Amino acid sequence: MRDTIDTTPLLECRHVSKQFSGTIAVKEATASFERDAIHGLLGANGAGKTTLLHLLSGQIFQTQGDILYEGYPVHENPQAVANICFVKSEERSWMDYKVKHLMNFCSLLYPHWDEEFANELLRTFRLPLGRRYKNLSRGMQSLVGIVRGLASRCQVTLFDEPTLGLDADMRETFYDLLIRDFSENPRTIILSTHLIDESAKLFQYITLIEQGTITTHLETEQFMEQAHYLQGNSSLLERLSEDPHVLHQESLAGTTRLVWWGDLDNREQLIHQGIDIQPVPLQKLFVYLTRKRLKSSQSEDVI
Amino acid sequence: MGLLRDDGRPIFLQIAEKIEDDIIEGRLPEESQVPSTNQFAAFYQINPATAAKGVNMLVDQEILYKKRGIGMFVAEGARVVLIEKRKEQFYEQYVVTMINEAAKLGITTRQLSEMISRMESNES
Amino acid sequence: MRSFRKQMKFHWIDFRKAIYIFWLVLILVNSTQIVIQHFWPGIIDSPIDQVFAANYSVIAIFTLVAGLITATQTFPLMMSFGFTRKQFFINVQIISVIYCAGMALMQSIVVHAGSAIIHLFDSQLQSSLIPFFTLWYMQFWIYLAISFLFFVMGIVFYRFGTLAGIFVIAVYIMLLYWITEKPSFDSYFNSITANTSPTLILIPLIITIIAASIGWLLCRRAAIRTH
Repeated sequence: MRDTIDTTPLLECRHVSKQFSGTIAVKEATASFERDAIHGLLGANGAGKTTLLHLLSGQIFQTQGDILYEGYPVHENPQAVANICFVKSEERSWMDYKVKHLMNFCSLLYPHWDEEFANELLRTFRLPLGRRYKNLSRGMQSLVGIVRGLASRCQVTLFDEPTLGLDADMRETFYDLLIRDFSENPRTIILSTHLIDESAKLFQYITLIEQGTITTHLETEQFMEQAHYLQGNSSLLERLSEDPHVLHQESLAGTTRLVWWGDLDNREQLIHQGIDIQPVPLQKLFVYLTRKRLKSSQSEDVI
Repeated sequence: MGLLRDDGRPIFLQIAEKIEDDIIEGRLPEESQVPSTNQFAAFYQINPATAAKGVNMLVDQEILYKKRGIGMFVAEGARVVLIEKRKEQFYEQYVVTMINEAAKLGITTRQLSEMISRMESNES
Repeated sequence: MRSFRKQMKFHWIDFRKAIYIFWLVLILVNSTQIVIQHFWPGIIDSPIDQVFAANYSVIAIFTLVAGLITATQTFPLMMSFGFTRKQFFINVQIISVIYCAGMALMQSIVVHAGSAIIHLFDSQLQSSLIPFFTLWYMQFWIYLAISFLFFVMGIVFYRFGTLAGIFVIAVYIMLLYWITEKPSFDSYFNSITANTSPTLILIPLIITIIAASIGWLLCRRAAIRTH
């Protein structure tokens, strides 16, 4: 009986919309974030990732819709907000405080704060304890946030672009620490990033947000199973190019390569015809999807 | 254990294949313990659930088995089973490809045999 | 949940440096004034025990700033640590009371102890000191009213922006002007300093309640800035 995993979502948003005097930042966003998993929140710049994370944490209020933690609204819910740690890329309210004071605050205000782990992280990241947050480099500010996010051991931890300003070495260190700490202390982590190729393998689930709406929420593998490269003779593939499933098309000297998004019914037939079918790496898939949707929304405007 | 390849192939499959490779090539003998999913996750920097999926797939195929409270172990006879499976894959991956490629270039079956003999004499 | 002690410790760590420096400077200034008055009488015009009178205004200004900062700084800070707005506001009420009581107490001590020290050197000096408890009590209510009035201003600045905040400043100035114009204000002010009925705290009390209520109404739906 203890082997059964609880798969009820810990955090959910249902038809959530957020309007900021004129602009609609989030529109009818619906997703259930499965517990004890690392979720990747992917989207182009301005797609609404930061706004969505602010909504999920209860720091801003939705114009409509529900945001639920354990089935109850997050809004002004002490259990919910105390268990949701929101690590922003830049914490403006921290500006005038020294790193050591901020860590002190964390140990006082987070009931599950792991002091030892935090100190280990501070050493690993070589963060100057006596320096004020505003005087830290961009990368170090991100690292302070990472220390808080990892050592707070909150049930739900939200990271908004945690790797901003970090060099490749530090990013690798972060990924290592994240995986290790998550393995030992499973919890629900939602991480937004635009560095997809590096971080794709961290995510068990992918949530894609485009122009304010959540268009996809799937297990990473299921998501990628939906995409295929089809490469072969142009004569065979060209007639498919108008199909709405085709995200992208390139041709060179009689060979055409298509990016197909969705079910591939006539797979056997295609292989028989000599068409090569390959999976599409996540980073490329993401680019093709966003470009395609951008193009289709532009053409809608024209009409 | 090699590196993971970012070619879009499911990571859990790659993990499973690596374990299979290790068993076939003798790095993981039968009845020996396989690294834990957390160790795989940490080593390859992947999500633990993904690592678990790969391992569990091999458990389902009875290549690995679980000793409660201890970990995952290589099942008896796993190597033989895997070699048989790989032989079939060898046919699909290499033999079929070779024949098709040969056909493209107009190489006859007889010429193929000669090439194989040439290779063998070069070896010795 | 979080222990009360830890929350208070958090506020203390946040604020203690400012308080230490404030009182250090104030007492230093007071001491310097006393010394100057003693060795060079006549340089400072006012009677020696009026040395401490200016402190009230200084403390009032410090309290005003503290109220503003609680709204513009402590609010987003606490929200970043996973507090609800209700929890935040309860914290504000508790720390405001503690802070105002503490500041009033310190000033009362400074006035009474300071006057006692002065009398050691100039025993002929007459002074009429407001009794310790009354002094503490009156200050407490006035500082509390100021603290909440400027908490409201701070929340307006944070939630609605600079223009709205300036509007509140304008409103306060107009109210202040209007109040000080009234003849009853002069007698009220004199009563405070001349130590009469403690029911005079009724006005700051009412102001505190109104300001705190407005503060809560503005705070409960205040969104944290996203950029």
